Amino acid sequence: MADSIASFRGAALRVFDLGIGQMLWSRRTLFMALVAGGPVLIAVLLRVLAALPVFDGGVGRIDGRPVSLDGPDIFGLMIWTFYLRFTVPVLGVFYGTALIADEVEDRTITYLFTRPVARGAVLAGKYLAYLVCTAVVVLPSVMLVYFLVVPLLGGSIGRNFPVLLLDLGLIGTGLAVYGAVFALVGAWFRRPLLTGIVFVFGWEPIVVVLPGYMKYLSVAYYLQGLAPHAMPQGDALSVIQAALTSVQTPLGTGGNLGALAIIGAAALAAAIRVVGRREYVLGQ
Amino acid sequence: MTTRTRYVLFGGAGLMTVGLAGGLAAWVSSSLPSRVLAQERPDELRYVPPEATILSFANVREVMDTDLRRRLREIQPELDGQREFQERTGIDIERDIEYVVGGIVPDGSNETSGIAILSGRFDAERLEALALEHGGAASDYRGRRLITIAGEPVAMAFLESGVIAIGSEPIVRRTVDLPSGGGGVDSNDSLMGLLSHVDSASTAWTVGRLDDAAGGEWLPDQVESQVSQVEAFAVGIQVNGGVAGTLTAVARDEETGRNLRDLLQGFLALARLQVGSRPELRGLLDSVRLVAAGTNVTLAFDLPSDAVLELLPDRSEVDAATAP
Repeated sequence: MADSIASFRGAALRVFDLGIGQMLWSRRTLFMALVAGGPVLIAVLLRVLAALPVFDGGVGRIDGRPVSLDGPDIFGLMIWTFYLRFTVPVLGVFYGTALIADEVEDRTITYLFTRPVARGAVLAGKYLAYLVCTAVVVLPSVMLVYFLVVPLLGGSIGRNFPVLLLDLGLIGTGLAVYGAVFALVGAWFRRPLLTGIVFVFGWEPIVVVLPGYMKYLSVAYYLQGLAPHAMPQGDALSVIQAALTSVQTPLGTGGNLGALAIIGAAALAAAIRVVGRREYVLGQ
Repeated sequence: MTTRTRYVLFGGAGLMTVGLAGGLAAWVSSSLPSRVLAQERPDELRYVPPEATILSFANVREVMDTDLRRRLREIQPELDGQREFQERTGIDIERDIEYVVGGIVPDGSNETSGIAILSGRFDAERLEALALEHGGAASDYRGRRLITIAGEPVAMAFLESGVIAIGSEPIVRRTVDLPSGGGGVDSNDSLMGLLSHVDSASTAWTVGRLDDAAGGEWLPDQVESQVSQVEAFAVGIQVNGGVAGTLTAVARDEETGRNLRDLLQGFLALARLQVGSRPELRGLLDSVRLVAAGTNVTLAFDLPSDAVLELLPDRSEVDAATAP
């Protein structure tokens, strides 16, 4: 048993070593750079805008009147809308579904499966490569946005540092869980990308606001329940706030984390099992 | 793994490390003022009994010296009750008091009593003579002069030069009984820990626990039932030109925190709807920010002095209403 675990781990690490390079230098990385770089560009734009005289040089007043929104509020809004609601699920879909589906599509899966390694280790290694690849691009993007946006309008980098750590953990957790779910989708479904997009942009936004228990069949419900930021007050923003905070979870932090851990582990285990048992028929 | 892949991985990891190290350094340095505040707490905290459930501090001298107070003095030369207080105690709030430490303390009979420790420049002999003129009685209690007034529950004790305690007699005696080497409310970590929610530059602050058995007894019954889900609170006010402050409520759990935030958002939305009939409130409402994280819900505001003056009632109307 111990030997088989060690063998599985060794094989997964070898696939990781191979897969990380392929993943990092693929065309998808360009897409990921755009998705992760967008918020950074917006943050730079906000810095420029805040430096304008009308904002009193970014000290929290507009034309002498205090503003009801500061840098940490804007950062919270960006984390919620750009990263948790878009970047994390989209990267999960594009990379997670491709872990096996790309090999099938390129007809290279035969070469992997004829190696003397467990089939499940191939998926595990590629999943690990996906995690490292996305984390190494997305998390620094969050860090840059934090340092650009939080000091605006009187915000303090130091005081909000624990919130940054929470956000980084939250985004890492989201990447891991969405990646596992879509790895299962990629291993199971014939058109995984379409299925994944429907799940992220069709299923989740609807079920999380519907009354009843359907929301428990989503990842977004548990992930947003962990978001530490309160949405800011403001006439225009209160509408956005109402839309986003309609997702109220009765689960506490532990409940949400536990649910995400179960979903991630179960999906990854199921994906490994599917890959191990399924016969992939390559098209002509 | 190719070399350029390693470069990318190490670059990302390096950026994260630098960012986290910088953020950590900023966090540590931003925490320093709180620690400084903790070290520079007024000495008079040792005179407030440790079982206090509410603790307040006000730097009266700083408030009196502000531009806002100067402008207020032009509109309203005396604070409400200032003259009466001076006639009864001989203490001029404007000139004599440096700062005040106050507390609400359970007195052991299912009731709570207040205590105020005043620090400033006091002429003890004159204050004692004035109290005697008003029917008070002076006595020595554990080496300190204690003045009581027959038929009134209030007592005053001269604790040391420039420091007097005013409050209910049992609590004032309890204050004198406290050991000089510590044992006051500053040893109450639960209450003092709430000061972390208060900005170190605050001119006045109040912290309180409502989860103790006697924590909410000072509140009216209706209010007490409403705030039963709030474990503690902290208020910090900075008077410097205008008035800025924060009110932090610590809810019993995260769900209660979310409910409390929603409740406050509702109140703010309602107030915004009604601001048309009270334009003077617009400045206040525009400055209000609501932040919730975990069990903490914080309401912050920042009012320039003009907006504060707008909120005050027209003095001529007040005088007309109170005229016989």
